[in-house]
Amino acid sequence: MRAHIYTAGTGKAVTHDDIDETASFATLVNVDAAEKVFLVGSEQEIDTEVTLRQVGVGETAHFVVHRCENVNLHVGYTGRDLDEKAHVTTLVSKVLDKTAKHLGISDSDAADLVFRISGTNDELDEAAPIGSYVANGTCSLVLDLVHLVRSAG
Amino acid sequence: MATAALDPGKRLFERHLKTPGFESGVSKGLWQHVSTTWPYAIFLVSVGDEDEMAIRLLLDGYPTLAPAGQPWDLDVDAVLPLSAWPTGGPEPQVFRPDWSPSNGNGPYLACDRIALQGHTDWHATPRAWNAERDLAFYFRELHRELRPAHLPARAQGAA
Repeated sequence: MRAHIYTAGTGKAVTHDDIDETASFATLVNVDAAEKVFLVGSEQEIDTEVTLRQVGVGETAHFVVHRCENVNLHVGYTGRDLDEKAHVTTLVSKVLDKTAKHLGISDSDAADLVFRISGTNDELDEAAPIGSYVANGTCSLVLDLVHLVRSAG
Repeated sequence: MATAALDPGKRLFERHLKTPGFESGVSKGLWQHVSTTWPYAIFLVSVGDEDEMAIRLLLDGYPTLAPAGQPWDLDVDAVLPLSAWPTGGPEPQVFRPDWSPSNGNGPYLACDRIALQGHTDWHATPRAWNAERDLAFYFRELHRELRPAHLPARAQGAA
C-alpha cells in the first residue's frame, strides 16, 4: 500500500510506497507525544501502534500528523471577514465550498475562487488537508479568498 | 526499446500518477488514469456533476514540455467529434469550437502545451505550466473548468 503523510505547516505530503499492511504507522514516521495522527476522509485519530490493516486503510491512504484536531480559519473576501472552523483533515476544496456557501456565493461562482495565505500569492492546493497549512504552535490560519486569474486573450 | 524504458519523462510521469494530489482527485472521482502507450496516456475526467469525458495527453518531453491534451473517444480510439465536446461553464470555454479544432483540439488553458505555444505572454501567468508542475496540476486546472460544464447528450436529455 501507499501512504501520503501531511505534516503541520508544509502544505505537502511525504509519500511512503510499497508499505506492508502489517506495518504500523509508528514504523513510518516519528510522532512526538503532543502530536496526533488522523486518517483523511474519516476525521478519525488512529492508534499509531496497530497495523495499517487494523486501521482499515485501503491501497492508498492520506494521513495528517498534527498537534491540533481542529483549526480556526479567518477568511477575508472583498472586504468581508468570516470565521470558520474545520477539522485538520478537511480538504481545502471542502473548506472553500463551505466558506463560499456561508458568504452566499453560488456554486458556479465558487469554482472561480481560490484560497491564498493572507498577504501572499501562495495558493492553497485544493486537494490538501487544511491542517497541512497550519504550523505547529498555532491552531489557526488567516486566508484570503480571491478570484483566480485566468489566462485569456 | 531500452530507450523507452529509461525515458526520464516516462519515469517521472509514472511517479506523478502516485502523488497525493493526483490520487486525491482519483479518490474523489474527479479523474482517473485509463491507459498509457508512451508518449500518450488516456484519462477520464469528470464533467459537471454526473458526466465524464476521456482526454488523451501527448507527454513527450514531460515535464519540461506541458502535456498536450485533446478530447478522446474511447470507443473508436480517435479524437472526440466536436458535437460531443463539453459546453457551458466559464468563458472562455475550455474546449472552444472557434479555437481548439485549429490548435490540435487542445483545451484553451495555460497548463496545456498548444495553448501555451500560441500565447507566449501566458508563460508568466499564475496558471501556466512550467517544469515544476505535475499531472495533478494539469487535471486540477482542467477539472476546474469542466466542473460547471456539461456534455451535449445530457443537455439534450434535459431539454
